[in-house]
Amino acid sequence: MTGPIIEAIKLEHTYVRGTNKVSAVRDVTLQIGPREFVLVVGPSGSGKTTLLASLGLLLSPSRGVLRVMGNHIADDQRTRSEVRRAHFAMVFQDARLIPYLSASRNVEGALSFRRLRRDVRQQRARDQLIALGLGHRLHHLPAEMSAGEQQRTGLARALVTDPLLLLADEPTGNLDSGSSSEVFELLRSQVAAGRSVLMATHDLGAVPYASRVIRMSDGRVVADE
Amino acid sequence: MNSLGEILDYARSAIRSQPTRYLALALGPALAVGAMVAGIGLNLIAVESARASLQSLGTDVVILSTSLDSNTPEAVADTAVERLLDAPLIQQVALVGVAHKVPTLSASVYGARLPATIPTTVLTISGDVSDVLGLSLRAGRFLNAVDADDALPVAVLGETAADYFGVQSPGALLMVGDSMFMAVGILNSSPILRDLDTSVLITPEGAESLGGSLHPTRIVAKVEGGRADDAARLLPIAMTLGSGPQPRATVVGRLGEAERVVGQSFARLGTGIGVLVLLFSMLIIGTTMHRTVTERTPEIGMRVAIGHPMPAVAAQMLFESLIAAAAGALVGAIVALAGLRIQAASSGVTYEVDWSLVGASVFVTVSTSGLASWAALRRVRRIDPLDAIRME
Repeated sequence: MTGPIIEAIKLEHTYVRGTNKVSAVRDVTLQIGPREFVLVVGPSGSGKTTLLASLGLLLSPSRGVLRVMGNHIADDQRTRSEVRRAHFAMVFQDARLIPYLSASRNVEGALSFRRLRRDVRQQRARDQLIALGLGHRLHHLPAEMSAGEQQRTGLARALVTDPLLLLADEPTGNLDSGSSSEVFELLRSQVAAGRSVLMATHDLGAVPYASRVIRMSDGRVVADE
Repeated sequence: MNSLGEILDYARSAIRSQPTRYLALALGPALAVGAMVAGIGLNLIAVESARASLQSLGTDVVILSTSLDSNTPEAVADTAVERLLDAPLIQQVALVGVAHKVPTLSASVYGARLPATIPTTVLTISGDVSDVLGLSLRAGRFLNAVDADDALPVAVLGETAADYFGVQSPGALLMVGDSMFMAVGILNSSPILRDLDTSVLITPEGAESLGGSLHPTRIVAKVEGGRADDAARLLPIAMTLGSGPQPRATVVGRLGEAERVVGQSFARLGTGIGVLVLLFSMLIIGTTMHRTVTERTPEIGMRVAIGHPMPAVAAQMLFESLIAAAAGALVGAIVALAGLRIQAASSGVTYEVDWSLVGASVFVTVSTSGLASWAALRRVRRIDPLDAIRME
């Protein structure tokens, strides 16, 4: 694949809370190509998360055009959900693991509702956790794991679906510097494996791992280098 | 595994993770079904028990007499009695005749125990009036066939008559007219034939010794259950075959009607309690599921973000409440049925479980629980995944 995975043209997102309107993303035009590790940086409230959610098809943009693999994405929740499931995966600041499921079942959850046999799902979840060094935590509940292990489990949950684009929103926000470096390294290894990574972060320690840095301020892209 | 299987699998895991919450959720349906099943069962047991009690009280009884005035009774013809014995609907018959009237005496004779004087009637009894009217004895025994052979005539006294004659216990002697009788029993008050309270009951042989009439003036007939009104219409015709004045029939008890009234009362009570508990249970379930959605909003947002369809997430939570409700309903039904068996055994009646009603109670409760959950779960569809993920 040579074309962009995702392309945004004059993307805007406005939150409406009662009579208040807040433009979180304004006039953003960008492309994310294959095998790119793109950082989105900027101060709090600059619109990083909203941009990530819009590009990840979690939010429906107020204006603008979105194309995934060259196809225009209609403003239809079902289509957006199907495209998201097929090509994207997300990692959050807090791993957001389901507290009542073990690590392997949390990872397996990303493969649910995909018409896969349970033994196939289980095997893939197990393999992914082992690949991320969590083979000893397969049957542990999130509460029984460290923050770093939880985040790696969250990453395993994202990777198990074999996405083209991995969207990570402050994935190291709750981690110490050692664990953060581990996560950055893991994300870079995903690029080497043929995926693209789009990560919103405050942590400038991620810059050396990225192939491109987008700076945002007040909802706009102020630099893309 | 298909989607439904996956949804159920998630629901099962969620229930296992918070057993206390789901036990609390199951409590409402358990109480609702328990109340409904118990209400229905107690109703059936009460009706059965009431039937036994009413039968022992002598309901479904028709009294046939030829005179409107009990002070001037006329004898029922022998042929009419014979025809009655062959008539349909009849189960048991007792003949009651007036053998003698004891003059009214002044209370002063017996001191201050009686504030007034009462007239006492001596009644000749043929047949088992005790069974027909369901009479009970305060002391002693009732008249029986062997009494005909006794040298000393025997009598059973009504409750008030016993006081009147000063008879405290069986074995006492009393003068009726010119004859001496031995009291063998004292009756409790009869709700059916009130005049028995002030009467002395003797055998036809005893009446002979008094020189009184042996002809019955009243016939007390126990008829088939619930057919008292039919019998009251039919029996006077059967006794006279259309010739001569027909005897007057008085229905003194309607078992069928009594059962219906008793049944209605308990059914209303049971249904009322069941509906109240059901509403309470819906409130508990609705509130709990509302709280559950609030608490699990981050989970819902994350699951949508990783690609779980929103309807599947909502369905999972609906199943969680339905599973809890169904489990609670089944436990409630089992406990109620066990309680009913104990109650039936202690009441001495047989209780046949009406499985269709038990099934209907469980179905209604689980359905309404599902409805309450669904109302609470409508919020799931409005959750913004991004807001949910950001929620602390």
